[in-house]
Amino acid sequence: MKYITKILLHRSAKIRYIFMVGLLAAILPACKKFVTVANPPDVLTTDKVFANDNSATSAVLSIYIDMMNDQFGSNGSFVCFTMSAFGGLSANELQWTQNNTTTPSYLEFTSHSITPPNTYVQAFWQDGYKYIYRTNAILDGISKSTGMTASGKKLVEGEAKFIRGFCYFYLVNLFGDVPLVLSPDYIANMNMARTPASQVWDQVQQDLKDAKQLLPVNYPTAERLRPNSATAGALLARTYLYLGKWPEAEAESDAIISSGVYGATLPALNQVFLKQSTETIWQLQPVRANTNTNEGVSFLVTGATQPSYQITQNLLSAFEPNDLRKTTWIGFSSPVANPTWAFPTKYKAGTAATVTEYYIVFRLTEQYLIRSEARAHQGGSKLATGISDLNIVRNRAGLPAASPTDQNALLSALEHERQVEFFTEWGHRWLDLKRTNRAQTVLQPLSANNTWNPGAELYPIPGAEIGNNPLLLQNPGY
Amino acid sequence: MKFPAKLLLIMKLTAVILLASVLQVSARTAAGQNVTYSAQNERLEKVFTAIKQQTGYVFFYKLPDLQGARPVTIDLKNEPVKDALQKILKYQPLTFLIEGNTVFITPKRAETVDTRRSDDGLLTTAQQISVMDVHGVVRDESGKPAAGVSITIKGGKTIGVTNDNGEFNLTGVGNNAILVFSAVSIETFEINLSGRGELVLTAKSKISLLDEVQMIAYGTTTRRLATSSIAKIKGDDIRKQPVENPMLALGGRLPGLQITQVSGIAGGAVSVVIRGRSSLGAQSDPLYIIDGVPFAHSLTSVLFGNAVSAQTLGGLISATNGSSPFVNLNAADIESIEVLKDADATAIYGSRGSNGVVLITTRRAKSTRTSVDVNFYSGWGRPTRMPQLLNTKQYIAMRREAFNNDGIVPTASNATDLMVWDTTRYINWAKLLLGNTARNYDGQIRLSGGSQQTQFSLSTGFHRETPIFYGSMYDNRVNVRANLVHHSIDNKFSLTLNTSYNSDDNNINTTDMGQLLTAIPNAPYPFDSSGNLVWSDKGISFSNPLQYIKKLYIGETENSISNINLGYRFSKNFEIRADGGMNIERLAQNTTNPVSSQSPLGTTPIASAQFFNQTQRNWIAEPQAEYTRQFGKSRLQVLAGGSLQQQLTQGTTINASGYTSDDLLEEPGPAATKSVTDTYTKYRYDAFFARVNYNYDNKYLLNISGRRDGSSRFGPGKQFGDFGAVGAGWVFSEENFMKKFSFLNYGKIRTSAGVTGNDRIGDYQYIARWGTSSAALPYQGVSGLYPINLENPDFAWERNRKLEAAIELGFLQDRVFVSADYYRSRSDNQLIGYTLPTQTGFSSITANRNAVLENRGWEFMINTTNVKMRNFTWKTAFNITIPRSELVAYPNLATSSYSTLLVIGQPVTIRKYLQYQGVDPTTGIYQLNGINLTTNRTEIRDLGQRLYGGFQNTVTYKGWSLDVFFHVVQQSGLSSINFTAPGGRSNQPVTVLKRWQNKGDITDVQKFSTTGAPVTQFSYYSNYSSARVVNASFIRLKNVSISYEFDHRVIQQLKVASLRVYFQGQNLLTFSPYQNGDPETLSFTTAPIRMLSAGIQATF
Repeated sequence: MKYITKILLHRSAKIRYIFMVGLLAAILPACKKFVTVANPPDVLTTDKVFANDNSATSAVLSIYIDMMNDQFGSNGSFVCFTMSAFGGLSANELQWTQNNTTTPSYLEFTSHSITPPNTYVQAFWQDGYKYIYRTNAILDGISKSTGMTASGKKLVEGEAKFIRGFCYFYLVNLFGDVPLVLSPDYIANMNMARTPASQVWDQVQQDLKDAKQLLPVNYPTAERLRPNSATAGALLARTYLYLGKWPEAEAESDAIISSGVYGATLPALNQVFLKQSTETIWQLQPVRANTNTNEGVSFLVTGATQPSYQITQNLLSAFEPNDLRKTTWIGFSSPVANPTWAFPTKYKAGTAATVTEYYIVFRLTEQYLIRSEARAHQGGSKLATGISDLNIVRNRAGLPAASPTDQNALLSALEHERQVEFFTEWGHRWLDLKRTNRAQTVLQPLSANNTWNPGAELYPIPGAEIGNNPLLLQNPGY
Repeated sequence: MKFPAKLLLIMKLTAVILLASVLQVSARTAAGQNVTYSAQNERLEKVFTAIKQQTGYVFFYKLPDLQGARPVTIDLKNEPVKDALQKILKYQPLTFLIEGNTVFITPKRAETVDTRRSDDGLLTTAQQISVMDVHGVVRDESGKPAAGVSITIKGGKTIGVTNDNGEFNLTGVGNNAILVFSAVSIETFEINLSGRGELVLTAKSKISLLDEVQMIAYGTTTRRLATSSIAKIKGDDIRKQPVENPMLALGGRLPGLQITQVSGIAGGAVSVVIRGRSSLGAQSDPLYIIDGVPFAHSLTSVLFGNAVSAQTLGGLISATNGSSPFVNLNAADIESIEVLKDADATAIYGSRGSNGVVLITTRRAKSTRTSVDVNFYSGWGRPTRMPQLLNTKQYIAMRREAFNNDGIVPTASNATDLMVWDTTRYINWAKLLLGNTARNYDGQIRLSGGSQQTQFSLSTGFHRETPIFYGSMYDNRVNVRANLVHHSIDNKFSLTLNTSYNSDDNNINTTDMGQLLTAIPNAPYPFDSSGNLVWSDKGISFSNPLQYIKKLYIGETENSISNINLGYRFSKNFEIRADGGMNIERLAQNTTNPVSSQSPLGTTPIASAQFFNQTQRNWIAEPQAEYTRQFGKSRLQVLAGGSLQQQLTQGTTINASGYTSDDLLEEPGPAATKSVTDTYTKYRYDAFFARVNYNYDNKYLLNISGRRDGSSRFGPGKQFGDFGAVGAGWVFSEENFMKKFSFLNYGKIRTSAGVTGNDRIGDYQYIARWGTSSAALPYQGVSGLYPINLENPDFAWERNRKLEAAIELGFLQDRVFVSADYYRSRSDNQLIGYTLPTQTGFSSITANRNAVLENRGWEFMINTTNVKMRNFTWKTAFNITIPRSELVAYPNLATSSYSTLLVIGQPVTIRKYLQYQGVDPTTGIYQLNGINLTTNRTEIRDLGQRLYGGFQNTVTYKGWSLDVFFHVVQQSGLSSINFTAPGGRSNQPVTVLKRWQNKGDITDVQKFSTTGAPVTQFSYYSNYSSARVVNASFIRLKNVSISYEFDHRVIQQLKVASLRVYFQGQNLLTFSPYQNGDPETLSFTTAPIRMLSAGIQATF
């Protein structure tokens, strides 16, 4: 310090200045180092994520977590709640009774006149592709990983492929042709046009078949919160059903039913949506604080109050007399004065300190009805086994066995059975009417003022997406 | 108590004589009367001894008095003792008296004369000596030496001029002479010498627009000598407006500065844009620097539908769309705000200067006199405009008409408001929710004073605002500030220390209650007889708007800024400085969701709360060296320096739920479930900069600056960038050929060009990051890892090329001052959060685009002194800015995500709309040219401001002062409408009564309806049609301020130095064609407040 002072005070101006410049020059190289900051301590870079099995698994878990936590749609992601609620509005199972405070988005579903700016439609698209990106990033990450074990890779790959197939299944059903994004490269993906639906369906089958091979027979962890081989099989069975591949559909569902893992008999109705339900094939764990499922939170009503999501008269009258499902799975908030104030009570727990219900994605009942329908379509000798599959489901509901006389009667009995079994659940009714080409016939008369936009079977491509990618062409009718 | 000078002198001499016996005494008989002596850097004592030996004179002095003496260099040849002593002591702080053979050496009397006060220290007693030498120093109010002040004998010749240290030496001045001090930079003043040999004078800086000090980057300049475009507002003009946020006081005041109040709620964000938004994606907020410390450099930016963005503190959602960081800036502490606009002024800030720079300078002590200043005001306010909504009768009629139009029979299921609820009940929600009178209170105390070397200023105060909302809410601020300025006696060393602490406590609701006005008017009264919220009526649930009363919001922001500037002047030419500063901004928020605020009718209510804590620590260090050299008429100034800056932001959000009692919600501890998410960003920045300023004869001016900059926001290899600018000015009025145009006293042409940059994009954007899922609960006990962003290591600086040309003219001795600026800036390499289609998994990515965006415009300013008389002055200030922006180029726009937003050749503030074709007279439904949002949006509307400015008149008469200010904006804006189609279960403004009713009706409001095509069409109409864009121009009487300064008699009686009372009105009148709300906030819910306040200020 003393010398520096000496130089700084040196009589010769030249020496003082040279010293200054020298000092600056000495600092210069430090400059670059100074602006190179370390990665923030609360995040990982991609290479670190796939450095071992644990963190790679966490990447997969983030998808399940977000499926249960995202709130872009009304109250949840397309996986939790949005598919059930908006599918229900579209299929005239539910009607919205409250203010439309922003735009008439809810009404657009029931009147089959959805507008492309409808933000809830965008929820399906945005959530779906968000999860797809993660599966692609995970598949890309594990392919480059050197630190993961072979078995770890296999499990993570299986889960990623299953989730990708699962998301595309809903996207292709709701929108028809959708861009088939299979890599995390945004430059390639941002200008991708819509891929023909048939190719998307092929990819769904491929992913599910791969997943079925990769995933273990037993659930990888406690409970049924992460998919096993049968989970992929369950969606594969449904996919075959939707594509009219009857023998394949039958084989897949039969494998699950006959495995015995999901119980010899269906559990009682009030057990179906509990977390320990024996018929559950895949369930998701609620991740919000003090909350069970969003269905429980949003559908349930206390006291004599009009429900926000109110079950339609059409659905109420669809139940046969003495159907236990009507009494077990539907609540009435004012049965005397306003018998129409009905709401779904499949999930009976909303906010609570302890979680008693998990979100049920696939359950065994559907496999019975898939096998039944696949057998019905194959006809002949399979008709009888198809009918007995149907009656397993009716039996649990406290209904007498049905005895349809021919293929068509069985098929329409199945359509009805699926309606009262899967109401307000995963948009089953909406997708069923769509795949059987009966949507307009059934739904147009039920909507207010008889409205039905031509092409309403498919939702519009969200307007914002077209704005951001002009190569996306809108569905006909919008 | 004052003694006559003579008496004082005698007393001192007596003391000296008495002391003489114990002091060093030399006595000898006189040997000769004349002195011949020469010395170099000799100690004074030695000189005296030499004279004693030659002449026999005996010297009496106190040793301590000689300690301040300087070494003597002198050459005397046979001089009489008296002359010799005069020469020897000329520059010494000593004087002498010869009595016989004895010389008494005594200190010169130093008088501090504050020329700003006429009665200060003017002594009139006659002196014995008729001619004397005077040494003195002139400083300005901030304590800086005033160089070049010429000193004249009143009515006579110039006898001296101050040097660079402000010092002067006069010889042979009559002891009762009246000296006149004058310079370009100070107000001319006179003093009566009254025999004082040593003077320390404080000059009042001249209030000439031309020579006022203007802050620039790392220095100061004046309007006369600036080569750059700088707009300035003084603290006094800010304080005339009773606003919490000083930025709000700038609206319309400065050309090129566009201020938009985003919300009328206290603490709300304010949008500040200098010369247009320069970036499509990165933030366009200016760089704020408070006393050299960058402030709130990169806080969250909120983007609004009307293309306004504002800087906010972020955090939890609040009613004000974020809270402004400037609520923590106390208007009472501001000395001035300078806005740097062009390349010449901003390029030295390199990558941060692209959007302009706002320099905020805080007040410091102006004189050595100890004074206490006390100021208090209080105000009362209501919104500028209140919405008019349907009453129950109108509402019920609307609903019935809607059902009738739809052909639907209202039932207890589809029309509960008509069929179940009482249709005569009326709740005036506007009156209930927004019925309070807003109040503000502001009190400040300042203490300042010091000595010649050291001045200090301490201040503290509070500010409180309450909103118009139901309930008792407030926004309180306390502030403490200290300022210390020190100069060493030789003026070589200087030190400035500023430190401030402000704390703001805001509990204003998280929801703008104005948004709840659409609650239907026949809803039940919100409280039951025991004061609990009502949630249903006759089985129909009711979303009670007053649930927000129970949901607390507590937002505390604390801000501390400290900076220290050290300077050492090695020589007249060379100075080094070190500036260092720290800024800590802490935000702590808590929102609660108690059980009592939730409807018990759905699922079981659970008490929950959210906590957000964020601390931003910012430091900066800037060593600088400056070399100044005057040779001939040339003055060269070279500045070089470096910057090191770090900003560390750490935040935590805690979502807590499952409380057992509503009373526990202010802490996360008692909650059953807690989830924590973190934010952490570190930003670092360094630079080297240099500036060369050349001035020839105050006529030709040249300024060159450059900077090499590194920012941590860019990936390896992209971190550094070079920026620079050149500015030139020609003060043509100094040319001889102009001298004959005597009416033009000042004329300058200046121009500048340069490159600045922008790095206002989030941190770490170039790395692909995976973060921990934010859900409250882990999945099977394990947290998830999710990808936060897409990786793009290649993005780099956005560049902004700026050009500027201006002319400045002063007429009639600056009675009229006119300036006109033309600017053009082009930014390319646009750094944007490029919107992606979500099929990529993300909605945006940070990237550069080759888009070229141009901002250009004209700025005009006229300041006139219309009347200037002894007791009466009238001044007018007028400014206007005509900004234009244009998207010059955008490669592949058609296939990009901006294709629906931007058009090449059009401003970037445009939006594309469906063409509104009126209400179909046959069907009564809104007609548009189509509803395909990709192909039918053919109408282009510009939502940017087309013209803005202000007009201010200031009249003073004796102690009275009146200020009237109008703010003028020409713009189009979105009309504020209710987004539910008229006819639905939601209240509407009364303007919907003009609706279509019968075939053939021509109107702008479609028929009432509850469902179907009209509702869908309304959705398009309200969100996408050109009908939304209306004329939102306004002229606002923004401020009227009247003050009265009591005269001397009152003041003396009250024993105060000054006393002032004032009345201020803000947003008094608004003239605008805009309907249903305020044209500035473009909303009927959060109109700015019309505030009337009264205050008193006293100085002791």
